[in-house]
Amino acid sequence: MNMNGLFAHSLADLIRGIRQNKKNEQAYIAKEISDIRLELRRNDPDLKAQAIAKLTYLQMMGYDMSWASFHVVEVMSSPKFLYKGIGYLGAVQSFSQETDVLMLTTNLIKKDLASSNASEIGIAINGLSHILTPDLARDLCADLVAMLNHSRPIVRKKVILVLYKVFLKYPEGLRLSFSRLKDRLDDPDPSVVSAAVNVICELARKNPKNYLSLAPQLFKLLTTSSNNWMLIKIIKLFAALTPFEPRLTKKLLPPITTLIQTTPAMSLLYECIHTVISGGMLATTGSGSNAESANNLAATCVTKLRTFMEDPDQNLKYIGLLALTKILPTHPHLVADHKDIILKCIDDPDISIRMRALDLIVGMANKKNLTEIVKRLISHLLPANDDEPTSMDDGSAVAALMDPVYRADIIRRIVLICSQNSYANVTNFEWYLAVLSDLTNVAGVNVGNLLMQQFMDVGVRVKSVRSYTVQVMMRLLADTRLTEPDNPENANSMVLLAAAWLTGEYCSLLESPENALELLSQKSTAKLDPAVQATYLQSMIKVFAYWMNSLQYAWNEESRLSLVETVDMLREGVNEMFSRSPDLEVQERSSNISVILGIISDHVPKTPLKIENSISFAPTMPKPPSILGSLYPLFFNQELNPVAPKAQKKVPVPEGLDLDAWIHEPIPEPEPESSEDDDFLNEKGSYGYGWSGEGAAAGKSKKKGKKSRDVEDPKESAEARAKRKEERRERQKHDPYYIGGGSTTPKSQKKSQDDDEDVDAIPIVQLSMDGFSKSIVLGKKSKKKSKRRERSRSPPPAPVEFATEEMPEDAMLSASDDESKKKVSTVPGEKARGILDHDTSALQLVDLSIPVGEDEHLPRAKPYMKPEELRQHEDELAQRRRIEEIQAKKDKKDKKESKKSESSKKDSAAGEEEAKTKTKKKKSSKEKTKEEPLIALETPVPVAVKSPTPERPKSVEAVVEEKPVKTKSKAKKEKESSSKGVEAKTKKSTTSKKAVKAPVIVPFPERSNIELVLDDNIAVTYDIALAPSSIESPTSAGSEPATDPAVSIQFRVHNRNLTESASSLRVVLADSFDVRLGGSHAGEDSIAISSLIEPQGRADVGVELLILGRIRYELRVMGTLFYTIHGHEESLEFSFGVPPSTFMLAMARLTGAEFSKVLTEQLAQFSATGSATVQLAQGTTGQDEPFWDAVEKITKEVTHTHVVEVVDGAASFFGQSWQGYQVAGLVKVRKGGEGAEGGACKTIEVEMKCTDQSFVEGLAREIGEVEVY
Amino acid sequence: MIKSVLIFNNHGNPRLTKFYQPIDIATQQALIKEIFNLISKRPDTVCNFLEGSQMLGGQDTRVIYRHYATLYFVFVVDESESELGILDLIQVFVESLDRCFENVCELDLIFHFKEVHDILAEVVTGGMVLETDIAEIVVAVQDAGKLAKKTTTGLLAQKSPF
Repeated sequence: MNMNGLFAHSLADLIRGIRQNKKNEQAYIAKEISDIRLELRRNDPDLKAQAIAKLTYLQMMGYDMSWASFHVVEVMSSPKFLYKGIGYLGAVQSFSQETDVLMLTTNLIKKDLASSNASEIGIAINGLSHILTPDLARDLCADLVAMLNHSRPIVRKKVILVLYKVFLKYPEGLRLSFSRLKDRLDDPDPSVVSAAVNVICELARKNPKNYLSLAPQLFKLLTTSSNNWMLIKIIKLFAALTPFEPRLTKKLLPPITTLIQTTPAMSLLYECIHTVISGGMLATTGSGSNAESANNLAATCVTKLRTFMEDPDQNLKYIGLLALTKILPTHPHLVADHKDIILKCIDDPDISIRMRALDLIVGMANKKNLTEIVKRLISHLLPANDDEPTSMDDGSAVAALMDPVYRADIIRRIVLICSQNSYANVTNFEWYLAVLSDLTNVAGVNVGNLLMQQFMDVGVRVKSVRSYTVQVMMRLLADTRLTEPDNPENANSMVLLAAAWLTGEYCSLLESPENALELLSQKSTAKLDPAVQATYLQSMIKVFAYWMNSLQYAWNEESRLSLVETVDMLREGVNEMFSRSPDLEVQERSSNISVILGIISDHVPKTPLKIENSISFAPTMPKPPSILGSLYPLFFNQELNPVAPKAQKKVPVPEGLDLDAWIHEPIPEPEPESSEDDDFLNEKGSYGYGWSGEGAAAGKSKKKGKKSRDVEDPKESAEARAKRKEERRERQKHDPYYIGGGSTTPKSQKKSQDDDEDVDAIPIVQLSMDGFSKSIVLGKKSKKKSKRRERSRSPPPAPVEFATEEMPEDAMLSASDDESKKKVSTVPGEKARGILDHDTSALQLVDLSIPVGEDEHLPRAKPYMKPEELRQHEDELAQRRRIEEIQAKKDKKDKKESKKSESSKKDSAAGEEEAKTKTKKKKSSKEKTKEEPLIALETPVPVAVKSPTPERPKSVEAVVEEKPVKTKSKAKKEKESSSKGVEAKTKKSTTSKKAVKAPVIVPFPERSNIELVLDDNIAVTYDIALAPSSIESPTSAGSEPATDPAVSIQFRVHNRNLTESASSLRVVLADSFDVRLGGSHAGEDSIAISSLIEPQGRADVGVELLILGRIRYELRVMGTLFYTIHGHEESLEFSFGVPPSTFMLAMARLTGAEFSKVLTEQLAQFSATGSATVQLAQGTTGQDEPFWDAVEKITKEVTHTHVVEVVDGAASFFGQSWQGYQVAGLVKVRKGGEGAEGGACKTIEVEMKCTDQSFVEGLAREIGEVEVY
Repeated sequence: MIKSVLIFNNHGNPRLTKFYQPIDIATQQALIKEIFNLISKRPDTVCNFLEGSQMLGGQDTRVIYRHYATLYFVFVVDESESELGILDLIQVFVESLDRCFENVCELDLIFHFKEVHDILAEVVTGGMVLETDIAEIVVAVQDAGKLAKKTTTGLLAQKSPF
């Protein structure tokens, strides 16, 4: 371990080390990480950055670095660009939403976003796009939106992209800034437009309706742009929009058709085709020509897609198939034309392509080609041999064939194409059963459940092949590959469940029931799944019941023997294999069966049958014991048919039955038996075919019998019985296996009541045949009904006969169908989210159709400074401190001196006049300002910290008086400090120094009492002037302003109402990128004026506004004045301009020589020009007075300049603004047509030269508005 | 949206991992492994698209990749991206790397992994395509490189190749 920074491992060392220590990489890295921990602990920024870089590299290899997140932020805040980048990369790679230090990054990112360097902004944006949290998104949204107008396109496009991520975290931001985002669609830079399209495309996927209004703009881009990347996005965007605006289709078809026919870019071509398909444009069924063109387009698309599929490039083949899959539902005939090539793709060595081809095949299957397709698919499951249609020489492809996932998929597809639309494609079910049993054996993957369901479904539904089904099932039962599999994982033993059940249910079709009984009780059964075992048991007793019943008709010694043998065999089998099963269901069934078999065995004569009437003429057969027929009616009273999927739903609710009401109060402790009963029912999840219901219903009814026997009490009251009956009926309502309950037709209702009575009345004491058969009726009642119906309706035998689906007789044909339709037609909503998907649910809720209200705006960004501004600001403070110290030394006589200088050291912008006029109040406000600059170093705060005070005019005077001294010394200082500066600069400062040195300074009259707004109650006037804080720190000519200028506005509010007081007066300024509240109001939303103004009273409030925008003519401040009068809140909107002349400084008069020197020497700087004309009032005659009045007004009042030289009929003037803009101008009389010297001068012309164009233009406009009488 | 950009070599060693939705590091590694296992089995003759993976989940997630010599460049995207477009984009990314590093090879990516991230950031930001013009990308990367050089002296100064 090396603690010396110079020898610490660099990233490259680390990488080399890892490569050299391949064998003990873990140990090496562990040591490195402990070194990194030490490096991070040291206070060396270089080491820290390097450590984070190393950690980030290790993070890629799977080593956690979340513990270092604080250090990551430290490195992020490094002033060095490279380190900053390392820090941001570390954050991007390791931060999560939960990383707590993210809270610390807000201001850091704010600062980086405000950087003047595009690269720096770039890493901040890229970093932000990864680490955004809802808080960061909300806090930075306004900043980012403002940056949409950034001068560099590279910044604009990045901002656009990150805004999407912002909206994901802060969906409210979308509505508030969408119009700004939309504007970027018209950006001059194509990359920026592309980024905007990209983001809108993503947004539109979530909620397309919001973006329909953009269609015209997008359409224009579609037809004019040649950027393929963007075109793809636009086209994808339209695909999302067209379903919501069908009229778009018509408009889009021509340009898209053109693109399809002309574009050489395969990607664009493909997307066009894809959009045409997925946007539903081909399905147009409008006017004739429209439909025709749509059909033509479809044909073109399919033809183009064929070229994709014929392309040797596998990628094109793949997406060609993908697109065909999508076109299939609407234009199957077009796809069918290309069956040849699609079938070829099924055998493609590339599994992705094969899967897509399979998708297509599934859609293409029909009655005619089904067997061919299935054969082809099955061939994929067989081990490669000579029959293989294509060469499978590719090793990996063969491996893929063996991939269980692939095999399972193939089998699923085979089953799907056969079973879809209720087996519409299958004409020969014997063939299908053969396919299914083939699949059972070749699967090599566990698809037992699927195949089982298919067997059961076919067996139950297709009457005509039932006997064949039973044959097949017998074969399966005998198949040792299933009963004693080598590899139980992949054996489809679950099909045995179907085999057992079908054999049991349709045992009348068996050739040899004895055989079946043997198979069902064979030893190997013990290893099967409990569910299969349970079915085996149930089937066993069913087959046995059938077989025993049949013995009645030929009862002789032989049959007696075989009965005894069989009973013994079964008892043995049951006891051996099942009765100790850990599975409760199996155990219970086996016990039941065991008891039943015992009873039967008791009733079968033990002794050989005597041939009784051997002597008589007509030898009669011995009378069979009655027990032989006792079991049969339990199971075979009627045929079992499939239940229609909606049968349960269609059971109408009987009148007067409130399913939500308690029938009786819930019993605190439910009877253990009944609850067990319910649990058992609930356990069985699948009842689609009614097969598990059979066993369950039977078992249940048996239990019922037991239960009723147990509780049966002759004294039980009729009420209790009725109560129980109701209870049961309620239970039956919710019983999934109980189908035909509670019907409304009087007949069936009566019948069901009868049934209930029956059941309740049965005192089952012994297991007699009668009792048994009656009790079982409970479970079968509905079937009885349906059987009757079926008999009357059953169609004449046909080649394929389907069993009728069971439905309640009085099914309501209304609601449920609609319901299911509704479900289908809903917009594709929630999709399963992958681990890399964003949560976009909130974005879907944003409705852009609601206009953004006046009072809605992005959360106010805290004012901040750019890093270099911050640095400049610091420099300035330091400089001022020095000046102040020098001054303090000069004025040493003053006793309070030291105190003052100390305070001014800390006090950034506050002038000394504050120190002079000491009041308690001032002190406190000074203390406040004292703190602020400190914050300014950490977190950005407004530049102008001094708040305007009510004594403003006085303080202005003070400033003006002191200014020469200060500015002078400052200029001197500047000159000194920039001694290495170029000559031009020194010259400039000389001029300004000269200008300042001149003795006469005339303060300009301030603009005051300008009418702002008034209504019946309130009148507002305002004063406007450069804020004192700004006056103090003017910018010298030629250099850049260090801060934003501030103007102070004094609102003077007058309550005009004679009787009523106005209360709660406040001003809210509209959001603007030009102006921001500064001074004491910085960061506030509204400016309180006064809580109450008496009738005829007045109130004033001073506000400092930071001017962020370029100074120009139109620079306006808008806002609203709110006040309450008569208990109502009233509002007055106002707006006023900030004239450029506000920024003109009062300065010493230049002499003519100085003036011309400035102009000649700095001619290049005076590049901006502005001119204006002023109309003099009519009727003025010969005297020069009006002209001089005008000049006076223009210079002193309007432009705040001063006259330099005067010649006859003309005057030159000069001035300088706070920003350092110098203005030189000439006023002259335009000679009228009459031409008489000194005659009627109607117009005077003003021409100005300046160092800033928009500024001088603004001044010119101001002059143009002057009226001179 | 592009959900992830991965570069790994023929042995599955990651050379760049970028996830545009934060996920924990264990899942990242498992995902890389899974995708590598899926992709490395595929011969170069087959198509460059994979339909998601078990871990990725989600609907319409696709894995689009290209294989260059020793390196796999993998983009995980959803359905809003064009398959062929992403293939082109991978090409753009690789060509940009090639221009910035002058004949890029795996070692460049290893020793300048931050720069690779920087270049990627000029192609894709926040899971969306930022720029497809190689010249623009290279200029942006070089600008940043110059700034890094200008502002850095000391330990890491010589590290940036641009």
